Amino acid sequence: MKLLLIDDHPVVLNGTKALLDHDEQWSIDTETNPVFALELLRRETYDCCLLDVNMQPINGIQLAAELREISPGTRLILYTGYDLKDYYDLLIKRKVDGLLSKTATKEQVNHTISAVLRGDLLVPAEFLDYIARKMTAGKTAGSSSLPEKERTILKLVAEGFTNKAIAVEIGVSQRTVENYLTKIFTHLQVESRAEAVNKAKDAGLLD
Amino acid sequence: MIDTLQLIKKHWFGLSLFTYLAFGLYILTAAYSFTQGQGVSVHPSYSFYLYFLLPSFYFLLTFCSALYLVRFNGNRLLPMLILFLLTVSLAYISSAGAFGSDLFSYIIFSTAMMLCISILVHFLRNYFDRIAVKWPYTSNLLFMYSFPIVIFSASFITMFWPRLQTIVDWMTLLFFSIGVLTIFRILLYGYARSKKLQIRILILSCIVPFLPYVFLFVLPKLLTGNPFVAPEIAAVFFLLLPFSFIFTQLTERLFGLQYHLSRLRYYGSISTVSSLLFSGGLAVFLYDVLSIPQFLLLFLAGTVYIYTLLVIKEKLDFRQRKLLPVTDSETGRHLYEVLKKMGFARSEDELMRIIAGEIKRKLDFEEVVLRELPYDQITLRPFEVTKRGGFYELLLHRYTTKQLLIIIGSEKETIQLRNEEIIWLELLAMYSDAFFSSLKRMEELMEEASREIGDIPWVNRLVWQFVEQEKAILAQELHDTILQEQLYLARELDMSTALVDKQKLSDIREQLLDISYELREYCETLNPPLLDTLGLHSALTKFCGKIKLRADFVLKEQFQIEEIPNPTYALMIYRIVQELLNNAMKHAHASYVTLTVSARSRRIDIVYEDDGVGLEKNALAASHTMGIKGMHERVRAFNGTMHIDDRQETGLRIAIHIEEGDE
Repeated sequence: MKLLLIDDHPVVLNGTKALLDHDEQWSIDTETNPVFALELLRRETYDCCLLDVNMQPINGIQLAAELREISPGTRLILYTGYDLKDYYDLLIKRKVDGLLSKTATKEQVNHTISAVLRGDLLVPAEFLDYIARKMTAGKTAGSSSLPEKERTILKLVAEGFTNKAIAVEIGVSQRTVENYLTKIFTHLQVESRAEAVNKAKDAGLLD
Repeated sequence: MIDTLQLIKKHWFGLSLFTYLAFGLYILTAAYSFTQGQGVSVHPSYSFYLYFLLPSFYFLLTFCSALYLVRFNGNRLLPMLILFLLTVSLAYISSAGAFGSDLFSYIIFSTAMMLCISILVHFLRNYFDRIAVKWPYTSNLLFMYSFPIVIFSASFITMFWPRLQTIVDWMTLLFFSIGVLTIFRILLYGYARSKKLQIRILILSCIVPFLPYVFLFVLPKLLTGNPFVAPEIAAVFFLLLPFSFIFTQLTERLFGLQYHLSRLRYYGSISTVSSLLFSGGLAVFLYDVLSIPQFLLLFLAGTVYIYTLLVIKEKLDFRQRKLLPVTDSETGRHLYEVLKKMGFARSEDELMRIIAGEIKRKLDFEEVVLRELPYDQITLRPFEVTKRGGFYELLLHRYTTKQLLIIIGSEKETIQLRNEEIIWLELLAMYSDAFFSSLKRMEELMEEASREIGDIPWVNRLVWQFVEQEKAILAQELHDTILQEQLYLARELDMSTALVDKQKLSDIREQLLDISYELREYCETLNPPLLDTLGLHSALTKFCGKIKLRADFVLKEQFQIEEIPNPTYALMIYRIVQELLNNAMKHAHASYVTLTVSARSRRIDIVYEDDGVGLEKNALAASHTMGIKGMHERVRAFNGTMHIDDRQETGLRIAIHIEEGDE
């Protein structure tokens, strides 16, 4: 199996390569310049490409589209430091074959690549929430009870706390609070704090 | 009517000058026969020089100068000068008889002398006027002419009462002295006030001819009764008076003496040397054939011939190639100064004023007018001085609608321009043309800038683009350095968890990820994420998602983005939405916000609505207004319009409309 890693940050590129090197089945090439990568793909065949999103002068998404044309058989995995959620749509439209977060653990990385090479898909479970939201957009959904932590957070939201204030209040990071909120939104099938509070109140979830 | 009058005036003036000349001629001849008839007991050769050669020579000189001066018949000073010349001649002619105790000559002499003084004062008044020096006395000088009349009458009376002779003598001397002292006072006063070089020269040229008369005749006669020399000899020096005036004061302007002298020197040396070589060479071969006077004649003829050729060549050179034999270094320096001054002009009017002023200064002539004419009124060849009647015309600049002309000379006064001055003017016109063109361009730009200072859409837009560029660079830097390093560290920690305290390491990893999350927030604020990868729609959706995650109001957004041909517009729309929603979060106290963005067929519409407190009651009115203002400027920068509907209690509505491509 031949892999090509494309990332214009040498530090991250080498880190990723180090992560993968333990597995002997894979021969791994690296490239820091997306334009050279295009040339490389024209000459050689790779089974899988890992593409960073933020690259100059061609970004990962444009590169993916061009690589699809040059070498349709190569599996493409978008590799990003940002939210994976932003790119779920690309996955649905089959513009890429897999998504990998730069915050992912070694196991996640290896499993994701292996899955993609097999033709499977390994994504966070929240991908299903995304699909669900897409499918049920506009429809009202029944809401069951909320877990304890989510309930606490939603109560604080109803009291007018900002996300940062909630984070301080319950001793976690803002990132964690916002992750919980996203879960709450999915659960209640709403999109904003105000709607979530209204809906939860209506359903008697905050009592 | 007026034209005819002026024509008559001109003719009359010319005629009167010739009348003066004829009069002078008559008197001179009369004086000659008179002196012959009197048979004054003097040495024949002495009498020949004093009464024949000198008057004849002086007459010729007067005649020629008057003839030359008549060409400049516009100058007010010239009639005075000619009168002065004639009066001095009259005084001189009569002096011989007067000092020979002839009563009639005596009357004419004393009257003429007094008249000289009066005319001189009058001349000085006009001259001061011309060089702009304040006149110390009353400007009505007609009373000055009563002195000669008084003297004439008094002298006439002595013919019948000879006993009054002594009184009249003293009175004449007194009047004369007062007149002379007045002249010196005027000159000294004028010099003290203006320190002008012209007046200093005038003082000298006044004193010098008077000195012999005063020291050789008047003073000795008063003190001892015996003058050192005969009065007629002392009086000869008076003859110098008008000429010294002409040569010291008016030569520069009227005769171009400097120029003619240097040309004479230059051509003279060329023609004499070559003629000398020619006749000398001829003498070697034709020594036997020709006599010495013949050689001299040959030499003279050769000199005149070569000189004439050189003058003809000069005329042709000027006409064909604008070439002058001798260039005046002053001209170049003066042009340099003029151009320097013109460089400071900020408007067309100012530039025209400067040019007219400098031409007046250079030509020492007041009748210089700059005139604006419709484009098709006259067609002059550019940068060429043309003479038309008594005027000189020169085209300075031609706009599409009008042309700027300079006109030198008028009905009142005309001037004879020297070749050198014509070249100077033409050169000035060429430079002026460039000045006018660039000034026009500058005026247009200034007008555009001053219409709304600091509010020029394209400048705002440029500034905004620079700021955005800087933000993007900073975001990229943060993203490329700290963020990547942290992610790398997080992964390293992840790989080490197998070896050490698992829980602790995983906590550190989570913390690192928290920091990365915050850092990413900053990056995203500086440089919108997804905008250049997934496009405006995704970027706006993501941003609204973030707002919904944090804001207390319900946000309903609707995006219809079909085409954004220019990435600058995408960024602009994103920034406006960012500003609107951040404002809403901070200040609006709204519970419901709607936002629609549509971009299609080159039209961009953004409509924001909330049910908050509106602008007036806004807790942070100032900063809010600042935000609105910044947004307004951003929209203006793209030639768009922004309509704010502040409904006070019921909320705020902002509608922005931009047409693409009309920049």
